[in-house]
Amino acid sequence: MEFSDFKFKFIDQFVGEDISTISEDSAFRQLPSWDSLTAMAIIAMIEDEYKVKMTIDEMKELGTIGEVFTFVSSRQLS
Amino acid sequence: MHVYLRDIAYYLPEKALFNKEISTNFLEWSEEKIFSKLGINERRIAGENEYASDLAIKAAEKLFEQGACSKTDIDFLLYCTQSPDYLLPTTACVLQDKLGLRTNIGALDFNLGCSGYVYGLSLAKGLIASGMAKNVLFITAETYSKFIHPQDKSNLAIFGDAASASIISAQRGLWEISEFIFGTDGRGAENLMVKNGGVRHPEYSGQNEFTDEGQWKKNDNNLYMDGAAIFQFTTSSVPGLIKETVALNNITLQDADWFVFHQANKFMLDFIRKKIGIPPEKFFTHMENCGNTVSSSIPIALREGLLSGQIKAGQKIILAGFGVGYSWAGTLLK
Repeated sequence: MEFSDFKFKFIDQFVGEDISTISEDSAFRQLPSWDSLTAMAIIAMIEDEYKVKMTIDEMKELGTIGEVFTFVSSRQLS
Repeated sequence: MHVYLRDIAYYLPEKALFNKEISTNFLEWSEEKIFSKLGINERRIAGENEYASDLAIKAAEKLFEQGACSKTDIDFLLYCTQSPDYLLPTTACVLQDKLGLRTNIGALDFNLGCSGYVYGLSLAKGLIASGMAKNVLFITAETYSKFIHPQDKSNLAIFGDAASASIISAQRGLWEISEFIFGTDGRGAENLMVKNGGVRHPEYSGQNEFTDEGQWKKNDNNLYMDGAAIFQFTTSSVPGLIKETVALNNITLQDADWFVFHQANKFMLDFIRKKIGIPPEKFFTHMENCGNTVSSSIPIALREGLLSGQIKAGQKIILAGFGVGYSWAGTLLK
């Protein structure tokens, strides 16, 4: 699992967002297009692409793309 | 026997609700945010004394004006609604009289939401293929606005009222109706529901319920939609539905000229389009000026596609309806 690939798929769930400024440390909940639907789309993407089931509550604990990437990586290993 | 969809008309009520008004009442939602998420700028709302059957009559009268068929040709009426005039009689009987259709015809209601148009095509096709009817008038009409709580910003922003009317017959028309895939899972019933007002819960005794953050959440007297659950249902069921519909009709995804899905909202449609791998130029959407019109959303999109010249008679079009129930269905028009 490559971070660059993960980041691309993650950012793809943000509708109408200027993605050039988003980095590993960006607090994605601060982005203007963020809302609960975006969270659902990210959870669905992670399940489809990485076969990792994540709950809405687990998602709420994570603030940056890097943190989500670490979470998914660790679940894939376990 | 070959069965055809011969013509489509639709009707939207006059009163409009724009994003501007919603963002004025819910300050956390800007006009631009509503549009970029939902792909909707305007939805039409039935008047205080205007009901789904009134919209249904307007749509059917438009269809007859378009000239594909006359009232005396109709020998079966199918009416898809979740906003019936009464518990009984079936609204289709009232419509038969108000439209001035013959009395020696069949007429019935069926209660489905966003999957209703595809189901109606399958019922109409069955009536004609079996020789029981020659010309089926199939009407969809919905006024969800009457179920939506004034504090329910999500549903206010998503749904619009509308009606559509279609003629299905053995005579050649716009498209031949091919084979169907169906799906039903009542475990999702409570995730999209108007709980009170039926026979099981007749009293409108619902109270406003709020989230931990103090936001309005639901009232059992009104339309309730668990957006996250519906999103999960849709994204997990629709890709399989499309795969099966394509395979059953012996075509490939690439063979289809268009994909016309229930016009749920832009965000959800974008997600499932990408998941299935449909190129955007083959994915027809039309909801900016009418919102999610439940069972009328597919026929409205088809009609608008024809009017704009993008969609043409005889093209291969994959239809998919999915939602309340849960209920889903797919077919190919060709």
